[in-house]
Amino acid sequence: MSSPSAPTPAPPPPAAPGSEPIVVTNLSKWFGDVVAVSDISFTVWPGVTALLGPNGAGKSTALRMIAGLTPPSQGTVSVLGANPRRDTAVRGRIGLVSQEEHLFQEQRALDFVTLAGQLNHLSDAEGAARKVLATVELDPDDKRPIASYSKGMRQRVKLAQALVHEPDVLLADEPLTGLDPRQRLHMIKLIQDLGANGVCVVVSSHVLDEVERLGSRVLVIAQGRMAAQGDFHGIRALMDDRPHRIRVRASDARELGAQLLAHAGVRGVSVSATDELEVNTDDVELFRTRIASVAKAANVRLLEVQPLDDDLESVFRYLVGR
Amino acid sequence: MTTQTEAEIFDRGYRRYDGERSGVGTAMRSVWLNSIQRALGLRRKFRFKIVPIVTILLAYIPALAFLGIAVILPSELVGETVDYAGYYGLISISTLLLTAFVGPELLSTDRRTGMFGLYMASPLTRTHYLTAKASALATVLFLVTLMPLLFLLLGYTFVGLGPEGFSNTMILLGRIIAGGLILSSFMTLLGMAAATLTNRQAFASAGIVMTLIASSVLANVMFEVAEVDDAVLLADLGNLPNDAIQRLFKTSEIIDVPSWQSLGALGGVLALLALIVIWGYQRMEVTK
Repeated sequence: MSSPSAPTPAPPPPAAPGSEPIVVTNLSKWFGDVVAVSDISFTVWPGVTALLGPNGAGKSTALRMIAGLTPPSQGTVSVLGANPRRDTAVRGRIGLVSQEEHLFQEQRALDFVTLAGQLNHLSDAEGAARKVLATVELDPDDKRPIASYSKGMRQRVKLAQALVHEPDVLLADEPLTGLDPRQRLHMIKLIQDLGANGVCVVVSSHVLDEVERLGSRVLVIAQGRMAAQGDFHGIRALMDDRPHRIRVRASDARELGAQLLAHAGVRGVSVSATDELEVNTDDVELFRTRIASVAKAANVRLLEVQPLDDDLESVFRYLVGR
Repeated sequence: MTTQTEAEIFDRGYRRYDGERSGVGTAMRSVWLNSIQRALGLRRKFRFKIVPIVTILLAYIPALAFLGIAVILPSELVGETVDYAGYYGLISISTLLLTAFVGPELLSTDRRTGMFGLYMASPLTRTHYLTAKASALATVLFLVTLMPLLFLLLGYTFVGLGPEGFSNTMILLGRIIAGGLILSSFMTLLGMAAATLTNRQAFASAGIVMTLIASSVLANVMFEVAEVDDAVLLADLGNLPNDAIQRLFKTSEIIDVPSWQSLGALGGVLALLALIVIWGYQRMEVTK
């Protein structure tokens, strides 16, 4: 099991065709004249997938359609091979963490999570509720009503009610909102564990730092449309129209810049200090293979090579800003 | 001392639930029970208990008074016929207040807080959900439409003023149960229909009260001013279930029309209210 700070785990291998937990095909949803989701298609495999997009992008609507709560205006959703809107049995294999904050606030956490277990047909719902509350680091015997909890605690109650019946698919709408850093680490670890154990977890978020720690597989939605999907490093590599920006520190930045322009497929160089330059290149692979030999030939010592836009934030900014 | 063979490493990883699962009936029972607790303010702050306690107590006060008289001055009541059917008039305010308070509390609140979405994300269908909610509301209403009369019957029987013989007792018991069912069914569907149409609890509560008052005023004005047929009084919604109950107890009917007309009108109104609820929920989008 990976820790939150460790490199993101490799996505599990794709299952056999037909066994995909979530298949969304040409899905659209409009409310009157407002198009919330427009013709999106994707497949989600077991493991953690982040549904990424700015506020109002259509993430929550997409999750509600996957959960079977909202009928699509167009297109289809298949969860575990069934239509979640028609097949109530499949809904018992889905856990949903909604964004709503006012769920049964007068109840105790144990009662609320027990109710969720009973709704999902657990015979020993209270036992399961106690177990899952402990998993999210809440005291099952806490007599206080949920209304008196901090936002982070309420968030964990919501996660607990979604996990109480140990679903095959977990849909979590902004589950890390309101958690303090320690709780956030714990929650990310829990979500990663679920994914590593074969649960299909879809986590929506607009906080890139969270998503980067959860895993590298992302679905990016912007203005209701699918902007990209896949591993975000791979998405970045596919963005040919955007030159890669790389910062290079070297003993003679000016000399190295001139040589890179001539020999390493570099589009532009900007020298910011005597030992630092920023390189723009369309062919990052060629640059990587040549920089060492170019530096050696120019008798320049390389100190550091750092991609500036290979992180999720840059990818997201490009995609959403397009 | 621990030997190597006693050592064990437990798998603490995520494991799917492989325990026993119950059916949809258990899930509906949970919604029913949870809704009753919520309606009565159980496990909630005291302020949520005030309206249910007051309205329920109001329904028992006449019964307590009658039984008090029966105990203290039994000779005054010997030979008198106890008016069970008349008791429904005495509980009309309690029934109305409880419906106006509980109906919206059970439906509108779920939609406003997003709980409806969580229910619908579980294996419950909308039909299951509505059935459980209707049962819960009817159960709470039985506390004012059925239990006080049963209490009265039991009390009178205990002091020797009950019906003569076992069969008469059973007939009266059946009428009391049927009367409670008629009134509770009507008020349950009225409360649910109002709560279906708005997420605002106060609007729904006001809608319930206003519907009954407005229909009564309208029907009586038409009857008095326009001097139309007695059948126009069937539009007085509040009197419809009471008229059916009076006919059930074989006392004088409230509306002077044949029974088939009165019962037909009641059936039609019940069907219309049920349609509003079903139609409203079938087309309802879960946006929370």
